Amino acid sequence: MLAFCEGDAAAFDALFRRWAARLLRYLERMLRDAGLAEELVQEVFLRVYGARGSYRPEARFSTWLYRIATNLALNELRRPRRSRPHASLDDAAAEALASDDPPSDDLTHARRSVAAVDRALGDVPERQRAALWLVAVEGLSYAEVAASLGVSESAVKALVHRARESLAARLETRGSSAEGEGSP
Amino acid sequence: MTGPSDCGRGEDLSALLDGELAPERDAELRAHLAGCARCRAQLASLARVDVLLAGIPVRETSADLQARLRARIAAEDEAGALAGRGRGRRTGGPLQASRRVRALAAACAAAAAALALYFFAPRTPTPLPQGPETPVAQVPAPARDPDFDALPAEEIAVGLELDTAQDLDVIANLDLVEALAAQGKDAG
Repeated sequence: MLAFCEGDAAAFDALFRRWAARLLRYLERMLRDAGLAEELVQEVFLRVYGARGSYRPEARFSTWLYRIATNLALNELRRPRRSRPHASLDDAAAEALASDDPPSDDLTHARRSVAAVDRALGDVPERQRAALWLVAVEGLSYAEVAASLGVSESAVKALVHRARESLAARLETRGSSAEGEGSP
Repeated sequence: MTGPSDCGRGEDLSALLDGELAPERDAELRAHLAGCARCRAQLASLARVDVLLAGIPVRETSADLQARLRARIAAEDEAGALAGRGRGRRTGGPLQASRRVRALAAACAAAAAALALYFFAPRTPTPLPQGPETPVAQVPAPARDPDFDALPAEEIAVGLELDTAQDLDVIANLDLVEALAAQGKDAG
């Protein structure tokens, strides 16, 4: 980012290549809409581009990037038209992976579990979802997430745990029902 | 949230996974875990969520996303430049108004001089009266304002509250108008 701020245009492309796909994964989880998530990835990078004259490296670049993305996502989720979640996220693929059919092997079982947690994540309240993803997947600290969400660190601790516990319970329920269906 | 499966230590179990516990609390919890199968099971259940979340694949962005981004940046840069020009127009508004005022002042002076010529200029080629008064013919012509010169006739007409720019032509051709008027009188 600093190279870009100093006028290295190629550095902006490098930032995009490095972060766009990860941001997309996060925004897809937040918005449950693949097309909208791509739009917001663009929007994040437009903000990055626009900040080239004022950027101050007060925090890790990734923290700043996810803060922008989180704010954009939460704003987007507040719009009335966000009343239909899961509208266009790759449901077909997720559904295929999350099929309740008995797993044929460990890999298939693992894929189905991943798809199941992804789907369950969509039902977790958005701030919990953001907090858990940023901490557990993106590796942000509670303090960094607290700054992104505008809450205290203890609130982040609670948000992360509630999301994790909720997902764990869903996976356990799903595992139990799959076992029940699989038994004679 | 706490529950019976975590001895009321649920949030701390999550914080342990996240490496966010203070050292004393971390050590205390680890000691508890060594003797509590329920909390160990709960910790494993929470940790499994993280493993599964990390397994959600990173999907590449659309092939043309970067190109679309570049296009938007170019468009926004252009829009910014246009907005700059727009701001120029906005700040230029008063400047242009000021220019109009100066141009109209010059136009008024020109019109006054023309009217003075019309009313006071000798109708016959008699010598100009000599006296203390400044001969009308010697009234200095208003300084030419380049802005005025560049101003469209319509703007001048509006500034002088004239009906049309044709009125300006009348003023500019008073001699001809006067001659035509005289011919009309003669004919009458």
